Amino acid sequence: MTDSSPERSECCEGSPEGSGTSCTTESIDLSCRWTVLPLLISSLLWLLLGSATLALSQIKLVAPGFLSSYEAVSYGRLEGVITSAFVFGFGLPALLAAAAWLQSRLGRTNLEGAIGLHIFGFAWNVALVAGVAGILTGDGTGLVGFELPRYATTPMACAYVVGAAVVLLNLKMRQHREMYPTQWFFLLSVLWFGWSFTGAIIAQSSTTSGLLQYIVGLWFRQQYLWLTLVPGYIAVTLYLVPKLAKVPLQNRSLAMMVFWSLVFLAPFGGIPASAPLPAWLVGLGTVTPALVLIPTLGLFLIFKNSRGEGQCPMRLTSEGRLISAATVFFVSGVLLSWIGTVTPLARLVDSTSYFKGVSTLLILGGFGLGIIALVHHAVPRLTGGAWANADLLRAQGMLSSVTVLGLAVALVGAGISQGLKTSGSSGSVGDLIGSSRPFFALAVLCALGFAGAQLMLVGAVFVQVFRSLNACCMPMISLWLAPMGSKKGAVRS
Amino acid sequence: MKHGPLIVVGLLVAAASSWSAIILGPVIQWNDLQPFKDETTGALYPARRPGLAEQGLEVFRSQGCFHCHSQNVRSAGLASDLKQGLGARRTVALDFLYDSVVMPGEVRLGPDLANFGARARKGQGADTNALVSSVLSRLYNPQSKLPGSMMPRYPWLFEVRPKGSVADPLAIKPDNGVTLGAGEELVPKPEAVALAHYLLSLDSNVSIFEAPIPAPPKPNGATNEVANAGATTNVTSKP
Repeated sequence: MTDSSPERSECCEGSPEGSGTSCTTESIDLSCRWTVLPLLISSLLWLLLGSATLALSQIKLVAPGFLSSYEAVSYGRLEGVITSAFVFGFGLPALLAAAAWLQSRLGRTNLEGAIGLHIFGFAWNVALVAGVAGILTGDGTGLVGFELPRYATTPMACAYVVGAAVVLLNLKMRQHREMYPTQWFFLLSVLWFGWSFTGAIIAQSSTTSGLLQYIVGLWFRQQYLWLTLVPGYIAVTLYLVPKLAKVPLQNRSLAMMVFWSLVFLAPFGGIPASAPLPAWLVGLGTVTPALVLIPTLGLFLIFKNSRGEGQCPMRLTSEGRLISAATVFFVSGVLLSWIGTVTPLARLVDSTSYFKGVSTLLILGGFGLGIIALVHHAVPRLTGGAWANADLLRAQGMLSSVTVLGLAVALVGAGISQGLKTSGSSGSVGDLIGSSRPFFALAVLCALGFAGAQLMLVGAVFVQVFRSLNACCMPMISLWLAPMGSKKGAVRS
Repeated sequence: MKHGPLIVVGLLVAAASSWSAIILGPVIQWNDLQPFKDETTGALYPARRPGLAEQGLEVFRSQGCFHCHSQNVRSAGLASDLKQGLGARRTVALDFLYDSVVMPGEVRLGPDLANFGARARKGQGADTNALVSSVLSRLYNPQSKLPGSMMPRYPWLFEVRPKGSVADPLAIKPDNGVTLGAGEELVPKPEAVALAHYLLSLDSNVSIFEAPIPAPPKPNGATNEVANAGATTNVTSKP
C-alpha cells in the first residue's frame, strides 16, 4: 500500500473558506518565509550554543582545572544548560517551525496566524534565556533533563500555547481531509508536548514532595524525548524520504502502526533500572525500551522500502544523506537503549555515561540531523534561491554526521569502560578516571567538530537570508533613491 | 486517517493513562508514606535533616553535584555496590522522604554519596570539626586527596578574610598560587559549611522493612538471615 508524494498537487483550487484564491507552492513558501526562518535561525543558534557548552563540559572532564575559577561554568551547571539548549532552545522551536511550514505545504494553504508564531518565538526565547541564566547562577531544579527554573517554564508554557495554536489552526485549514502521515506525527508532537509540559509544571507546583518531583522530572523527560522529538523526527523523515527518493511513501498502514504503537507504548518508560522507586515503576521503565522496538522496526521498514534499491536519488543530496544518517542513528540509539536496559549488559552500564551516548544518538543523531536535513531542504525554498555554496553544505552535513557518531561512540565507550572498571567488588573511582579519560578526550574533539559544523550552517543560513533580503529590498531601495523622472518610468514599467 | 478529533481523543487517552500510571500511581501509593519506626528503640527513620544540612542540600542542588555523584546504592542483582561497601543495603524511596529535592543521580563519575557521612565517620572518627574540615579541604582542592581526580575545585565557596582574635577552626591552607597576607586566613563561606554538613548527614545504613540489612554470615556456614528491622548497622553488628 503506497501513499502519493507529500505534496499532492502544485496548485489548490481555493482556500477552505472558499474565497477562490489559489495557493501555489511559491506563495505558500512566501507566506512562511519571515515566520519560519526566524524560528529556524533561533533554534540553530541554540544548537550552536548547546554544542559549544557540550564541548566545554567535556573539556572539564579531561582538564578539571580549565576555567575552574568561574562558578557559572562549573561542570554541574553546564550539564543543565546543555539539555535545556538542545531540547528547549533547538528542539521545540525547530519542531514548530518545521510543523508550520510542512503543514502549510501539505495542507496546500498559505500560513495563517503568523503573528502567533512570532509571539511564541520571542516569548519562548526570552524566557529560555532567563532560565538558562538561572541554571548558570544556581537556580536549576535539580531534576536531570528538566532543570529550567519555574520562573522560566511558566512563561514558556504560555508562549507554547500560542505557537501550538497556530500550527493546529493551519492543520485544520488543510485542503484535503485525509492527512498525510507527516501531519499525524506533527499533530502528536505538538499536542503531546503541550499536555506533558503543562502537566509537569502543574505537578511540580502542586507538590512539595521531592520524591514526586523526581518522578515528574523522569516522566516529563520521557514524554519530550519519545512523544515530541521522536515523532518530530519521524514526521520529517516521512516527508523527505519519498520526496527525495522520488517514490511514493511505502506504506501507509505501517506508518499508522508506528504512530499508534508509539503513542501507546512509549509514554510509560523513562524510569532508570536502578532508580530507588517502587518495583512496578522500575519494571515499566525496563519493559518500555523493548516495546519501542516495534515502532522503530516499522519506521525502519518504511524507510527501507521508500528509499528503494540501488542508486537512490537521495544519495545525491545533502539532505538525503543526512536523513539516512539520522535514521541509522535513531535505530542504533533505540537498540542500544534496549541492550543497556534489558540484556546482561544492563548490569555493566547502569549509572555510567552509556545512556548519555544513547541520548546523543536519539536527540542529536535522530532528531537533530533530521531537522538539519530539513534546514538544508527548506532554506533555499523559503529564501527563493539555491544555496550559495552547496559544497559547504555537503561538508557541514558530513561533519555533523561524523561528529555525532564520534560523540556517541565516545560516551557509550566511556560508559562500558566505567562499567568494566567499577563492576567488580573492588572497583574504585581512581580506576574509573583513568579508563574514561581517553573517551572523554574523543568526546571533546567530536563536540568541537559538531559545534564547528553548526557554525557553518548558521553562517550559510545567514548568507541565504541576506541574499533574500537583498533581492527583495534592493529594487525598492534603488527605486526610492533613483531621480524622480526615472522613478516615474520605473513605476510605469 | 482523516478524523482529527478522533486522533486527538486517542492521544488524550494515551497521555492520561501515562500520567495516571507514572504520576498518579506513586501519589496514591505514597499518600500515607510514614517514617519507619523501630519497634525496639522507637526511633524513626528517616529523621529530618538539621537546618544546616537542609541548607546544604540546596547548595548540592545549586552546584549541580548530582551530575557526577549518585546517592543510590543499587541492589545486589543490578550492581556490586553492596560488595564494594557503598552501603549496608540498597537505597529506597523512603530514604528521601523529607528531602525537598531528590537527586539520586544517573551517572557516577565520582564516588556514590548515599552513605558518605557514615563512611567518613567510620574512617575519621566522630569529631565533627575534623570531619567538616576534611570535606572542606576536598572541596577546595580535590586533587590533594586524589591526584588526577576529575572533580573540579570550588574556590568560590571560600574567601580570604582578616583573622579575628581567635583563628577560625575551619580555616584551610591555601594553595594553587593563592597567597595570604599577614593577618589573613582562608575560610569557607556559609554555603561550603552547609554543604559539608549535608554530606556528613548522608547515612542510610538503617535496616527497614522494604530494604532490610542482611545479617553477616555465621561462622558455621548457616544461611544469612535478615537483621531485625529497625536496627542500624552498628546495632546489628552486636552479638
